[in-house]
Amino acid sequence: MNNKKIFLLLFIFILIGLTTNEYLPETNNKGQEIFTKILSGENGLFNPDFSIYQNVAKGLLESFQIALIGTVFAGFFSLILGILAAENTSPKPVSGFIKFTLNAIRTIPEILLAIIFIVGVGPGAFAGILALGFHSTGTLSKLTAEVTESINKGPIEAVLAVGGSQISVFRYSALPQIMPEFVSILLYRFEINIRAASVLGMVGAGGIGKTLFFALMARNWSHVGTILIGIIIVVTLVDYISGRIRSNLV
Amino acid sequence: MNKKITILFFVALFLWACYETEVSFKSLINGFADVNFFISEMFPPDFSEVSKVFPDFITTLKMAFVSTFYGAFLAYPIAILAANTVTKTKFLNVFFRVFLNLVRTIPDLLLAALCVALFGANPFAGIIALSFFSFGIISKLLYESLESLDENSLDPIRAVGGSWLSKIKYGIAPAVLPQFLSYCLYVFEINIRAAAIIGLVGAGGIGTWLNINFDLGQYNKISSLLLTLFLIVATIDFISSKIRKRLTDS
Repeated sequence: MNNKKIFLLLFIFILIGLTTNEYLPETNNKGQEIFTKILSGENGLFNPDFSIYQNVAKGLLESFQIALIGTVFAGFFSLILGILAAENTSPKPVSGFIKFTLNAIRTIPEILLAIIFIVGVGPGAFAGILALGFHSTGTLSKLTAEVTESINKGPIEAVLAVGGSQISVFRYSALPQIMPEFVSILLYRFEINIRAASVLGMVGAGGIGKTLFFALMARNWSHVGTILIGIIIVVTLVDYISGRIRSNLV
Repeated sequence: MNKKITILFFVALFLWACYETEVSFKSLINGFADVNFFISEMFPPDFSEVSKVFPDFITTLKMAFVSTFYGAFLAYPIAILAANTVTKTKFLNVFFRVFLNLVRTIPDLLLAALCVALFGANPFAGIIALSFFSFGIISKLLYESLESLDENSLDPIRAVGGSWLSKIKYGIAPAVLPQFLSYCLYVFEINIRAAAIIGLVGAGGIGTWLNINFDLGQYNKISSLLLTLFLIVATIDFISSKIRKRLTDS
């Protein structure tokens, strides 16, 4: 790519950008007033109200639990499905079929799954758990299958050579190779799920999102500010701890 | 011994979380009929309105496109400041890295809900939210690839007395350009899904229609919208992954 091409591309991009002008809200002084009021006003985002910390902590804890259980469920199923989907451990038609199903599952967004599960089990944390679990099963199984496909054949042949059964091949050669990477993927998914769990409540699936939804509806910006800070702290902590564990694993 | 304690700790944590969030598979089995009804209501999909709301599909695509562009535009300089191979000021590196980590903790749906509150329920709010979101991802990925650059490749420029800017222009920009473009495409793929979903909280695009049809209980229309969306997403994913492969191979 030479400079001319890059500038041409940039020019086209800016042109497309200009067509979104129609979405610009009307500018008037009132808008600016609202803006400053929401952000830095007495009841604004940057003036968080810490008196609701108990509510926020409860919501965050629930979000944490939703993410934890959802990830564990997904981990359990994806270990099975992932190995069934791997081309080197299962027959071709089975692996093809499972891979196709997993691809289909992955395209459904978590929020939509949450809405579907709320219909089934009613609003609350369990619906969120099911939504996260279902969606994560799709993504985790795919990654597990990829890990399984890349395992070293040597240890498998070694177990077979001493007369090991299929089960002992799995237990003593495949599993030890898959496990460290699998745990690392699982932790990574947990990091994603904790973010997802904090917004699932906005459609009624429990967790801090519920508290956030009510604060947003009531236009109570100082509460929104507190919740935002809470989410940032929890996500940062989880990212940090899980990052440390992951770098120890691999 | 240590391993056993860790496992025991996680099992206990999991059971406690299950207890607190009232996980019950009985309610899932009981709710199965409701979910089944809900899903059967979605079929057969009613495509009669898809052509009517087609402009909103275009809006969603435009939102995704423009916000990727804005996000990338902002991400480039910040990534350069955050990478310790390019910017030698330790303070700036740490400052921008912490900043980027904070930006990435905020989930896209939450950003969208905030932007809708600030700018009103229109695509503009969605564009701002997604730009911020894309900025977080692209700058993280970009500064990581900037740091993996071979520093020796910059030596010739330093040897002839090149300034900081010429180091970027002749040494770094051409080297990371393929990766940068590939990240932008990747984020564009994410943004299309996100742009469709954030409409649920009022940020414009096709999500608005999803929301309206949910409220009206017209599930067969929802499924038609979703199927069209999947078709668009799959097509763009396919093209984009082809381009990405070519970019990173060469």
